[in-house]
Amino acid sequence: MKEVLSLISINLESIEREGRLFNEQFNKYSYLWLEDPTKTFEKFLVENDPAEDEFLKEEAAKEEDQKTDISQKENPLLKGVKAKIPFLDLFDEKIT
Amino acid sequence: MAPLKSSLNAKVTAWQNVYTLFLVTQFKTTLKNLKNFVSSTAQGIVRNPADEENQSDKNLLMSVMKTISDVKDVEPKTEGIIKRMKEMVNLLKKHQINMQDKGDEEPLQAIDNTYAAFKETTQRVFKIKADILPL
Repeated sequence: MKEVLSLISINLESIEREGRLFNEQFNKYSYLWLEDPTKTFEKFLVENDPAEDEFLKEEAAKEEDQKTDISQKENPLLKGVKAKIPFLDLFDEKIT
Repeated sequence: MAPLKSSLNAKVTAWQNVYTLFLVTQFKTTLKNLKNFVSSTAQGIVRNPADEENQSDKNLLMSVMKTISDVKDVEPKTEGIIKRMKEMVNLLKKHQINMQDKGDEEPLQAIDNTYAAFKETTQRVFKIKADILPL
């Protein structure tokens, strides 16, 4: 009887260990059920704002100096939309 | 196992939707803005201040000059905006996201048609600009 109990215990421990390992594979996706998608998206927009890109910063400065074009903020084509959004590759990564 | 799968699937879809809906809205709003701009510009140059019967209408001249100024401001930025809209549409298509409501044009076709209308209207505006220069 003792032998059977010990065998069951060993098997249970092994199943538990395997289960834990299996579970750990999905830890990298835990944000899917732990985080709020809307808040994370807002963070994504801020953290990947192309205005932070040095090149774009220089371009914006040049534009400001020249004062020849209206800024994107005033552009009627961009009314109601976000003028600067993260690069589309980043959206692609998130959607995929 | 099936309820877990279904629940996970719903979670993943909800996450994807946040990103795709944002792009769909960006695209649709920009296209609508472009259509409105073309329409208001066309409306703004219906009457040419250089035509004999309009030459005494100073209000018309001022209003057409405002239209010309708006076009001058927007025109250099438009190509980039069109390019960005097309890139968005292509990305959304790649992920099989529907952007069309019932009766809507195919998105890329809609962009091309609206841009063609924009260019045509812009040319008319610049022609009027040349016409009113001597006034």
